Amino acid sequence: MAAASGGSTRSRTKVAIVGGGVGGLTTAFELSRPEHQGRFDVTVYQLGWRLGGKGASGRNLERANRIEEHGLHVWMGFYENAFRMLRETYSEIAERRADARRPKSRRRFPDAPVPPEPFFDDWRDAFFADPHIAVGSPAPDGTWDAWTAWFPPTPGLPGDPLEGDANPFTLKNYLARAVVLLRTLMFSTLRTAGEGGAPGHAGARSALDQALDDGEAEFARLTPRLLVDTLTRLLRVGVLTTAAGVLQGALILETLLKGRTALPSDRFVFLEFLDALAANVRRQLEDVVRIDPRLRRKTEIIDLVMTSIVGIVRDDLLFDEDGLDAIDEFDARDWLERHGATHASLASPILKGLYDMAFADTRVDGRPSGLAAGQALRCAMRMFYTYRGALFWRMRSSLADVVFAPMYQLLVARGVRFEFFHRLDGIEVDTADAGNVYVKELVFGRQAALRRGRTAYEPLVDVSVGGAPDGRRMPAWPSKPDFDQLAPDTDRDRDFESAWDRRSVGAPVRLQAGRDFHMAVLAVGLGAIRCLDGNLVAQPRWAAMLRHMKTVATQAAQIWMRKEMPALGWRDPPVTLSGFEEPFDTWADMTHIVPAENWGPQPVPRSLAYFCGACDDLAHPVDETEAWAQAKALQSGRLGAAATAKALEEIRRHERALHDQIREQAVTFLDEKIGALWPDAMMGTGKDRSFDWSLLVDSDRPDEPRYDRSAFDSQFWCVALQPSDRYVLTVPGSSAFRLSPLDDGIVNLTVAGDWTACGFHGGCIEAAVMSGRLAAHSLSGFPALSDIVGFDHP
Amino acid sequence: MAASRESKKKTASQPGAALRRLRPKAERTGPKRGPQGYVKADAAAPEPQASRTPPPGADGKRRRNTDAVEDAVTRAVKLGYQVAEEQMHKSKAAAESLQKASAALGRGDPGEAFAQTLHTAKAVGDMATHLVENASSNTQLLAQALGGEGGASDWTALIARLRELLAGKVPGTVTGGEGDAGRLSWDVLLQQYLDTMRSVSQSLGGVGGSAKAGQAGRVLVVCDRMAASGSLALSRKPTTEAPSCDGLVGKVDGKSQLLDAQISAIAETGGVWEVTVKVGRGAAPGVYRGVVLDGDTPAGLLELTLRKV
Repeated sequence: MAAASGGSTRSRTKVAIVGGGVGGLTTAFELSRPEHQGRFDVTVYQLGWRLGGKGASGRNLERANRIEEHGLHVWMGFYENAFRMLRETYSEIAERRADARRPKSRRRFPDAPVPPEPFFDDWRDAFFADPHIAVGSPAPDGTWDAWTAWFPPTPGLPGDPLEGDANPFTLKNYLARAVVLLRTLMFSTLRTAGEGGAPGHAGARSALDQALDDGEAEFARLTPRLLVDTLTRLLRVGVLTTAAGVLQGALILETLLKGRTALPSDRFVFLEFLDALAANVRRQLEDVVRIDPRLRRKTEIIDLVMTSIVGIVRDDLLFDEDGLDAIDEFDARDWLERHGATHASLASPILKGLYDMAFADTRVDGRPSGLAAGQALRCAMRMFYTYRGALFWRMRSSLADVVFAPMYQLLVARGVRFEFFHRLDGIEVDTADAGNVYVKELVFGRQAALRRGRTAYEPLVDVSVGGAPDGRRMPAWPSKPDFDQLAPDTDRDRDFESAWDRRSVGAPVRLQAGRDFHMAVLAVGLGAIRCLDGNLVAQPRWAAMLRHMKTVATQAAQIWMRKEMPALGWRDPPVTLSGFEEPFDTWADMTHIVPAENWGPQPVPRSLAYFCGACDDLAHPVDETEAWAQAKALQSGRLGAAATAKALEEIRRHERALHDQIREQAVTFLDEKIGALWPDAMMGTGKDRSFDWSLLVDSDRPDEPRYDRSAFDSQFWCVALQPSDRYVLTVPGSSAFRLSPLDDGIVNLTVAGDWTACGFHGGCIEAAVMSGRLAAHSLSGFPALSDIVGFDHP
Repeated sequence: MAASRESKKKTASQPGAALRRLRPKAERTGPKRGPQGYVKADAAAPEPQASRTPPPGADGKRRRNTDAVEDAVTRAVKLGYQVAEEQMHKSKAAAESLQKASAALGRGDPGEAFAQTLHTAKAVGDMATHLVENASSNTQLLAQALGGEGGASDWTALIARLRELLAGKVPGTVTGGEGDAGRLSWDVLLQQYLDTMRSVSQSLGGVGGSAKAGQAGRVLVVCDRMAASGSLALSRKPTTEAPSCDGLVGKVDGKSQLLDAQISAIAETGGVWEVTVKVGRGAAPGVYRGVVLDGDTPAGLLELTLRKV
């Protein structure tokens, strides 16, 4: 896509960004800022036809324009960098459109193309707050329940400027917040436990709900009468004295942490105090759970919070130059156990939920992958203590529609070029001068040629949207490319995102340093790097990174149903629930997406559910599969027609088998597992109990529901096995091997993506945005590192 | 030939050098993770206060224990211990009553158990009042010592009300017969009191016992590749026969690492606590620390320093 640039005529630095995921797009966003005055000539090279990387999605134009995603995407309230960029995107689009309405002589961007009108006028229209969090909760009898908590709104919105007079990202601050939470939870727990010990009393609410309702209510804000009555109730069950001791301990600790002076320099005194407090808390919790088992989840949170406080102090992390990275060698559960967490807390669904969010309860190389303790703490602290507005923010359409489409349109208006259907096959590095090692050549396989007369591929289509006012259409990525823009001889059955179908059109595209690009940004997913040809991956630091960092394929399923969630037996608010049964341990009620699709005369789905989970047992790295030999043979371009056909047949057989296995897993999951959460979605009893398949909105047979598993064929499921789509795990001991975008060991190469050393070592959009901003800083000096929110987080 | 190679190398290096010149130097190569790390609100915002004047002790330098004598915060913590110790003494009366109640329950004498429990409830009430009073006063003192805001409102009224309740109504409520307290059986309530008070006595005893902190021990290190020294500090006399340290953690090349070592149980030898650490061959130089556990309760610190020779 060529576009006019408003840049100056002076020599421009050519930047080749390989990979149009969040990291690559963020780098493009930063380098193409108008403030740079066209200093950078940016081109994004992208496999296939769509941007977004792991967040890419497509509209199925043959099935009600429904959204089909690789997984589940929710933004968290601490995604400061991601929200800043998104807000800027919407704002600049509006500004450029307003600019185009001025007389040309008064325009700021006189020669630039005008971005189309976005579907959502403002980012606040595209997102809404979701204050709930839920985890699957196994019962002793083997059944499952859901434990839901509500988190109160907090001041501000994500992406707002931070308060100038305080740094919220200090461990001391977190400890103070943790102690407030601890005290609130303890008080709330004891209050509940003290109410006669009789379960199920009228007006009982989730204990955490109550605690969080209180928020950071100070002890003293409670009326004396209420406090006295509470203490009296506590006395009835005989826990007053320890409770008072514990609360006093917490008060002392809180006062220490909120004080303006340092923590005790006599670390041992402080540690001993903490340990005594923790021991008391744990004893107290045992009593509490004996009195009221409903409080078990809350006591687990208390124990985990308490243990984290003890561990941070005991491991001297407050004063460690490496911050939380200092404990990244340990698995989070091991670290918590070492600091005294109870076995019940370690096995709690709350902790499992945290692991599931990071796909960390998977097996890699035959053993549990684990989750680096430092990053786990960092994530939990950012998630629970620094969110703004709401804990979660949900999108009213897909990530691609809400984020990538507007970004693409803005970047085009800024003059960024996009080269679709470019698959990176290799990187050659010149190492002749050890002090100035540089990328000599980027080698691409061109997957498709454009139809004669076309100069660029236009990836977006305007889709009709059921819930749109005034019939407004939404620019979106289709789930298949627009073959009408491609050469007539293009194989219309081809999956351009297939990991194995590595056919190319013509000779490889070889970009030479100094001629075609000056700087390169490697922004493909980590899983793709190990598949590259060339000598980059043989460089010692790169080889070490690939050896120590691990990825996992993920699987996803989406089902559209004829009944509302309450009619299926789910009585709680719409939630994203993790910690549930494998293989789809995470479920989200995505009914709010349905209006963004277009079901027309068909039965409109009353509910929509997304499932996802790790897929470690089926989808191995592509270069370890039998079909990889065929893939490399296709990439070589030296096969004749017959051999090509044979290789493709072998590849498709492999892909079909995998596809069928994922389908079988999803169907079995619905038949055997989902009834624990949606009891009314089941039919039959005992061994005959199974999912009611007629609930599915069957776009193949809208008027004639199917009552067997074949109904599932009309739904959507997939496995993210494309190398670049594999989720990057934060396994213990791997953080130190991450490559930093700031590293200039290869003088004209930087990296971007959630696999880099970006300040937040977890697979998420925020990490990718931080990484992209760092990559831009590395090439341009902008943005300032202090402006990358959370980069300097402990 | 050598000159030719040199010339070739020089030619090859030119593109790399030219490309390097196009790339600005990054402000730094990594994040500031330590206590002095900070995040500015935005480019235009002033530097946060916290980063301008790092608080004492947050400068990344370990302070010597002797410095702590004058440390206001440490004094505040010790004040907490002092309060706890007073409470421990006060709890003795309650604990004795509970022991009598327990014995009466064991003898099948509910009348005596009831009488003792009433007595205990009052003792507990006194103690609770004391705790609440101290929770307020101690917090205020701490806040004052730390120069911050603090204190609680309405505490006087609260304490008066609590005294009133504990003095009169609570025992009456415990006997059951009206209100929701009647849902619990007498035996359950009594057992709860007993369990709770035992843990109170133990926990307060544990905290209060810290006044005897400072018992030093002896560390015998077996290490054939490096010079080694160690220190063992126990905060109180262990209650178990063999306190132990289950591992030593230190930093090697900036990364936390468990020391490859066998650590014996800690035993009293000639009035001195002693531990033997046999360092494995894979150990690296550094300072390693571990917590001494007395049962499940931390009771001290074991520190080991390994140096290359």
